[in-house]
Amino acid sequence: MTWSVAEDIAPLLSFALAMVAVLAIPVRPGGIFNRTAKGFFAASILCYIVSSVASILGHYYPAAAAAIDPAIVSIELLWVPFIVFGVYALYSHQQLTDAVSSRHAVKKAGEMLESVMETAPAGIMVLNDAGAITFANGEARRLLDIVDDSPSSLMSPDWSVRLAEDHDQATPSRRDFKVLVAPDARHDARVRVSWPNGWHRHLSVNTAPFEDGVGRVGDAVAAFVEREPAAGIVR
Amino acid sequence: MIGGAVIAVSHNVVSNAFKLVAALAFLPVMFGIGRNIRIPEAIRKALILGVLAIVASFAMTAIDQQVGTQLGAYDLLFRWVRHLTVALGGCSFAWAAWKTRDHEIAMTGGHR
Repeated sequence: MTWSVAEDIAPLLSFALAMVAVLAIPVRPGGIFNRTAKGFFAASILCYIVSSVASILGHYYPAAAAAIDPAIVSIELLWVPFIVFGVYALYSHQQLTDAVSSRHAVKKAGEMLESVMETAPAGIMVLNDAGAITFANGEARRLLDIVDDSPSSLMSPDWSVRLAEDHDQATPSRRDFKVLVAPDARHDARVRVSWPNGWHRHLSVNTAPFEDGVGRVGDAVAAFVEREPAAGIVR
Repeated sequence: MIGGAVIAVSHNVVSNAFKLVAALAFLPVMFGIGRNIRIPEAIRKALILGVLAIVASFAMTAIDQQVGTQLGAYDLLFRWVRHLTVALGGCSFAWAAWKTRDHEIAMTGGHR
């Protein structure tokens, strides 16, 4: 009898220790544990504590133990879903925490990028694959004389654009920046932007293509400065 | 009364076999999900050891119910091994939980 009880004491003690340790795990923001996971792990351990206690009591009350034995087996069976749910709760909590931190990181990066865009001394614009401007920072708006904030004005400029290297050739000037949209990055491309009233500016442009959402290279970022800031504008 | 005992015994046998099958069926799911949880490798190994120990004890219980009476002198030894396997599982969970507690405290920068 003593040995039989002793063999049931060992699992009981170990699971009691496990229960104490699980209950001691703190649930804090930024941690990997949440209350749901903790509850499921505690429940799975409780299954074995109940089973061990019933087994020990069975040595003293065999008739009662025989009566509740099917229930004890079923309680042990619950260990399987409890431990699976516990692991899944840990995983889903981790995914949720990752999503929240990613959202914060994206928001922070967006705010930082916006500050950089608005404080940069160079004009920065984003061009789509057709060469139309889809974004322009403050300096780009100043240099390109974009006064309206509405997106439609960005899409229908009245300037003409020509690469300096095409100046002496028969290439017609364009009404967009398609000349800057290319699969390869450009460095110090000389561009002449002309307005119908005779104004023109000479720009030094760096471009970098980037992929759209489906992995296709089409859009480009262009950063530019005026090459002849004082004498570039002819009225 | 005999019928009740037969039902109880067969319920036990079926339940123990089902318990083992259910645990084995969920092992890949558990390990598949558990592999993606970012915890220290030592804790992961302790959890795996605990789960495997419990599943092994399920198998031993199922075997014990089928052939327990045929083991003769080895029956006591078999029972001891089964209980120690469960205890090993419990100790692994306890160790993993305690280390997880330390990990959580270190990660969240809080006080004990």
